[in-house]
Amino acid sequence: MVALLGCRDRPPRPVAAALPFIEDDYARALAQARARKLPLFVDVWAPW
Amino acid sequence: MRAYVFSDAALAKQAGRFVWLSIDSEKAQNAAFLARFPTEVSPTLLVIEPTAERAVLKWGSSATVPQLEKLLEDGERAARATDGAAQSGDEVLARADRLRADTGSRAAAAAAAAYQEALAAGGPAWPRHARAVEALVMALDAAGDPVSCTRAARQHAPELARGPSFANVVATGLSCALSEPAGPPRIEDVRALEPLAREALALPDVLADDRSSLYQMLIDARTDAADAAAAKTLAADWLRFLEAQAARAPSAEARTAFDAHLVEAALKLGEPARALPALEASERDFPNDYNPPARKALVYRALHRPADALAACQRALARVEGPRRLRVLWQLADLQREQGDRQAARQSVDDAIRYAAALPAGQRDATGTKNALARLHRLRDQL
Repeated sequence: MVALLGCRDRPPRPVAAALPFIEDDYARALAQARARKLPLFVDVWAPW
Repeated sequence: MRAYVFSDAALAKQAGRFVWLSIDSEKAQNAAFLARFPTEVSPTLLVIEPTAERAVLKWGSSATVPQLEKLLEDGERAARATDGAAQSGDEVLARADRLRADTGSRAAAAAAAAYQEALAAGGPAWPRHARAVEALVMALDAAGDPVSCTRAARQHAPELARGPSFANVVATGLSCALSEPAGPPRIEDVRALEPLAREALALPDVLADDRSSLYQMLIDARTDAADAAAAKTLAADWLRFLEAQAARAPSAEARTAFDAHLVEAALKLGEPARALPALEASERDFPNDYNPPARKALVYRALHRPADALAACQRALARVEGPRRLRVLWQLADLQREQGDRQAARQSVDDAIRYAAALPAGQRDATGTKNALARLHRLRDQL
C-alpha cells in the first residue's frame, strides 16, 4: 500500500508558472516549436 | 517542481528559449506521447528536438532553479548536436544526453559509458562536472546496475561541492546500495554513503522534497541495518521537518506536495493520526483530487478504523481515472478482503483487470500498469 503514496507529489491543477506551459497538448506544442525553431521542453509529471 | 521551481519568477527570462509543455502522465489523452517518449520516474524533464521529433535530453529527477538553468543550456546544446565525433567535455556530454534520452536499459547503459567519457574529457575543474556525475549515477540506476551506480556515487560524491547535485548523487547512490543483493558489500556500501546522506540533509539549498527523500533513504538504511531505534528517531525528525515545511508552504498546492511523505513518515513513526490534519485540509481544498482520500484510507487502516478507511477509499475511487485507478481498486479490494467481504473484493479486482484492459496502449503497456496488474492477480489468487 505504501506504493500508493508516491514520491514526487503534485496535485492535478493548472500550473502557476513563470513559464508559459502548454497543458497536455503535444501536437500544439510541437507545431509551435517547429514554427518558432525552438526545442521543446517537457515536464512529465503525475498527480500523486 | 510545479509549486516551487517552475513558479519561480527568476525563470521568466528563460521563457523564449523553448516551447514549454506539461504532460500529466495519468491522462488518457497523453498515452500516445508516453508511448513515444516513455519515462520511468516522475517527474521526468525532457528536451525534444522538434524537426526529427527526437528526445535529446532526459532528466529523471527534480531540479533547483540553478540546476534547471544548466539543464536548459545542456538541452539546447544536445538539440544542436549531431551523433558524430565529440571531443570536449560539453560535446561528449551532449552525446551522452542524447543517448540517455533514448528508451530502455541498454540506452541507459550506453549513456552511462558516455557520461564517464564526458567526465574524463572535461576533467575535475569542468563546470559541468557535478551535473555529469549526477547524470552518470542516475543512468546506472536506470540501467538496472545498482552495484555500478553505488560505486560511482561512492567514487565521485566526496569530491563534489556540497549542494543539490551532491545531495542527488548521494540519495541515488544510497537507493542503489539498498537495492544490491544482501551481503557484506551492500552493508559496506550503505555504511559508506550514510554519513554523506546525513551531510546532505543539512545543506541549505537542497529542495525540500529532495531533503525529504534523503530522510526516507536514511530510514531505509537504518531499517536495513536492523537498527529500529535509529530508524524511529529519524522518522520523528522527518515528520517534524515535513510538518514545518507544510506549515510555511506559500499556497495550498505547495502544502499538498508534502502529503505523501507526511503519511509515510507518520506511518513509519507509528503515529498515523499526525497525518490526518494535513489530509483533511487537502481534501477540503481540493475536493476533486483522489489523493487525499486515498491517503486517508491508508491512515485510517493503520488506526484500525476500517469503516472510515473503506469510505475514504470509495471517495478516492469516485475521483480517479487512468492507471492510478488500478491502485485504488487494489487498495479497496484489500480493505474489503481484510473486512471479510471476499465477494466484494473479488468484484473490485475484476473491475480493475477489466479497466486495465481498456486503457489506451501507452498506459496499458506502461511498467506501472503491468506491476499493478501483477499485484491484482496475486490478490485475486488469495480470494
